[in-house]
Amino acid sequence: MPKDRIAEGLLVLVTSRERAASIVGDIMESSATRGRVWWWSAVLRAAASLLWGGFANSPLGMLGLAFRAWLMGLRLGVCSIIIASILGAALGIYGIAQQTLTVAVFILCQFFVGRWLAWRAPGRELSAWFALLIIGQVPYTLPFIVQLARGHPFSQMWRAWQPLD
Amino acid sequence: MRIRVPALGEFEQVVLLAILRLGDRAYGVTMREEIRDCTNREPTPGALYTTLDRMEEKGLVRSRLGDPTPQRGGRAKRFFQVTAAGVEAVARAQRAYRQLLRGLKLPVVAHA
Repeated sequence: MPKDRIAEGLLVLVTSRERAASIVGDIMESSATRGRVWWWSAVLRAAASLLWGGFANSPLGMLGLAFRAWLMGLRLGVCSIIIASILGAALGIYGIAQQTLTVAVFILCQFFVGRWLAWRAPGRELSAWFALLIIGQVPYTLPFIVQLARGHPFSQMWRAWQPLD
Repeated sequence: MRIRVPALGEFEQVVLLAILRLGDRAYGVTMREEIRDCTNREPTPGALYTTLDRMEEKGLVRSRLGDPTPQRGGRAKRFFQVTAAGVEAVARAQRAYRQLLRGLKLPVVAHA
């Protein structure tokens, strides 16, 4: 696969198709006297900037969208367990086979969440995914932070790691 | 009708001035070259494109696609133009700089 197609495929995840094509065109034009390293460095730096820009230009909107996607994923996750249980019982599947079915239905649900998110943030798919990644970590990290603030043994462990004054 | 003019960052001013200098030849490659020639600093492609996207959302610039060229693998150039709000924003920013410089005796400015 030609490198310009790969670069365009990468940039399409962080900006619109027309913009990705014009950026790759610009990089092609500038890279006439430069090497492969410069090419990939320019593509990756452009992708990183656009990824961050897509998030930083409207952080609240992006986090709101990601939160809705997270809630949708949560609901679909619960539904997938129920559907897999009903299907398992109807088909007489138990044990490992039922767990595999549950995971398969769960992955399918997450695929739909991803499709929905990509549909709602055209040209900023990767930025939306980045926001979902942040939102998805909140339920795990928030209790930890609260425990730290309350002086839980975690905080004593944390202090033990700090250098002595 | 009164134009709503947002405040500009330093790099936004540099990009707007480069577009104004280039006229209808302003696209990614020529803008980077113009900025490099005038400021001795070459902006990264990522910084330039995110700034252009942001300024387009603010209504300071508008873009149009040119014809595809073989040199670019059949890809079109995206040409930029400064809007009336963009011109007003850069003029306001430059007025502010001049106010700040008034009364100062800086050797570089004196010889400019």
